[in-house]
Amino acid sequence: MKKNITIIALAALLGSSVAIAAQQSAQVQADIDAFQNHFKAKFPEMDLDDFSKGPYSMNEDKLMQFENIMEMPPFEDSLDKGEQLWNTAFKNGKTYSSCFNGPVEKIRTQFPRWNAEAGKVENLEAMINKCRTDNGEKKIGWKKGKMAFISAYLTTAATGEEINVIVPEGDEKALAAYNKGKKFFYSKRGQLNLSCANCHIDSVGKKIRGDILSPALGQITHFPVWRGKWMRKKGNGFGTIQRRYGGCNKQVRAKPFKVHKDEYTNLEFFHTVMSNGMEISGTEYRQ
Amino acid sequence: MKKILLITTAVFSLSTYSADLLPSCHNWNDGSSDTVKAAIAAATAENKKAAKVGFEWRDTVKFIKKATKLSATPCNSSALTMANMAKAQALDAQKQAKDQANAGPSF
Repeated sequence: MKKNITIIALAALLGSSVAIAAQQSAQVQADIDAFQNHFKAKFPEMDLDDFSKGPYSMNEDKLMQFENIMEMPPFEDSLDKGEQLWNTAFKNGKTYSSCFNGPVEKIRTQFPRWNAEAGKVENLEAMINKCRTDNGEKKIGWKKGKMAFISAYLTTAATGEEINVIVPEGDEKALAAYNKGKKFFYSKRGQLNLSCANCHIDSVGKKIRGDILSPALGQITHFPVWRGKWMRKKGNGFGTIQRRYGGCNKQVRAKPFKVHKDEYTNLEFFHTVMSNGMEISGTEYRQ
Repeated sequence: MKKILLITTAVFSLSTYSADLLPSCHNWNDGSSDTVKAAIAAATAENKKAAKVGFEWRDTVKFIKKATKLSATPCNSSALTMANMAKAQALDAQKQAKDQANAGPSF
């Protein structure tokens, strides 16, 4: 009798845990497989995590330059500032960590995530600003500066952690947000009539002027990035993934969308899901 | 006869004077001198449609602004060219939105 009770209790416990853990949508999993298999077939010599090195994984000389820069990265001070900001208490005495679950190295991999209650995708930068307003502080800029420092600190803390973004099976709103991001990614835009996919799937490894086009697979593993181009502009070189989306749109001569509105947040959702299974490589240098 | 001659001269000189009040770009077909203004309005309206479907192009508003600035000088043909370019871009952007309705992967 005791055995039976134990078995029933165990079965009930297992059943409930299965119900709690959200399952990846079957459609999304099929998309991930097709997306990643495309790159694996096109570049059979590369491992999955090699793709996170972007354009540098496509050219030995560029990889050497990248590795040299990463030996003493020019953005270390900014990462320290990010850590300092993360640990600085708000006026009410709480810190950012009071708004997030788990240890610091696990925070980056929780985002972007689907919030079923709010019916929308939440990304890390949005949650950093939500944390501020929830604690009586003013919002900070979305794309660079302090926001990028904190976000970069969290990305670097998560180095080696695996991306596992879930579009819950059976949640139609979540799937709709994912599909909007997917459509955005594959839609040609702007006067140059180019989609994200035209450059970062169809033309990966090819040159565009002096630059090499990076694979879409793994692009998300190292943001915010420190870019030489952004350093030369006003600012300190750091930028979030949504800053980059805006830049890409401008380059194809499309009007960029406002950051942290549905267009780019859904795109970030899709873009990140496609790199599921890859490791976060920490904040990196980009040209 | 003198009277008729006087009236004809008066009418002729008056009509010449009133014609001089109109800018040289006056469109006698539609009776309007505001061709540029109309072109700017049309471009703005079409661009709003492109923006509504999320496919606005980067430079269209710049062209509209430039056309508006140039239109301060009467009969500036560059203003009309600029406005028409903006409208053409806006129409192309709308077509692009329609073409991309079923965008998706090709693998």
